[in-house]
Amino acid sequence: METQADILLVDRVLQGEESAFESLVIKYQATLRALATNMLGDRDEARDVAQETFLQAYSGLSRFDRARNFKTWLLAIGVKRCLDRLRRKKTSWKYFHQETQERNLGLVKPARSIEESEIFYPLLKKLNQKERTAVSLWVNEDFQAREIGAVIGCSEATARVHLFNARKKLKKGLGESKNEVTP
Amino acid sequence: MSCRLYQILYRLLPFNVIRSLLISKHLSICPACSVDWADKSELKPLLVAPGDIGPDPDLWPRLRRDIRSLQARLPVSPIKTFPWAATLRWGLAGAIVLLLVGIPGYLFFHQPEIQSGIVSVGDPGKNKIVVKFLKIEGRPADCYYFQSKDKNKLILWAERPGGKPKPE
Repeated sequence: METQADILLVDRVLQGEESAFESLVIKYQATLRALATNMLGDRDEARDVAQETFLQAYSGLSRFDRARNFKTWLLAIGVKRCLDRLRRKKTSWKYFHQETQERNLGLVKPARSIEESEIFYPLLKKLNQKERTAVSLWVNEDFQAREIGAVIGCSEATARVHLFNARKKLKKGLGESKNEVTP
Repeated sequence: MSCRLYQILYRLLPFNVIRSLLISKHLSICPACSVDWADKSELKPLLVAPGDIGPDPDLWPRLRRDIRSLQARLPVSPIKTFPWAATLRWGLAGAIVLLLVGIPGYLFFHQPEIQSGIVSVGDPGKNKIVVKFLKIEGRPADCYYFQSKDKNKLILWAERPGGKPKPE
């Protein structure tokens, strides 16, 4: 049903109706930004990625395969852009670690968002990019292995393994952080 | 198989297909094993959810500006392309390959057609060769024969009409 509605919007965009694309942006901007924030760990960067992703989607809309789900297609573009950004800037978690240290020294303002909380970084740092993407899609979008694979660009089996490895690492990490909190 | 065996197999076998099978057949459905995997309720507080993301009122205006500049960069009239351009390109490439392979091949394998009226007569032990005619490409050839010092050898030399025998 949702897919059909998206395809109708895509058709309208291709006919030159700009407002139809605005509807798609409004519909998926939060999903895309949440995924990008979980991958990059930075709200501002995630916003830039969302803009780039929508722009890339717009210019490639004529090549969109109607047999595919628009949301999966859009998120796949977003994931690629996040990975490119991480590869290019090499920011990743090293950068965040530095920032956390600076914050502790009082050089940076205290955490202003959920993704900068003390518990967020050490735990998600244990995951690789694909595991982090898989877990984000599973928790937030209720995606199953097949859809996760379509977004990440791997097989269903590989996506299932990424997701389960992520869940296992996070479970272990949660247990350890609980032990650290309670003496 | 016991839960422990499944877990050992998962750890030992680094193949995603097998691991996926172990997950779907046992690890994801076994209540004892699921203790090792974090569930959604545990993970939700760790991740940024779409609900945590407020609307970005600047996103669409920025995007619209980018879209317009993208459209402005597009050519006013689309470039006319020949519908069979790709086929033609492949055809040309094929023809070039054929020529590159075919011409040396033809030159290498093509031998001038030689018709001869050479017959061997007499006993197999004492053969006598009679040359009735010798034509190259349908025309009578210039023929020479050489008797080397070895009396068992007779060299018959034929050339296209008008050609000269190569010096020995």
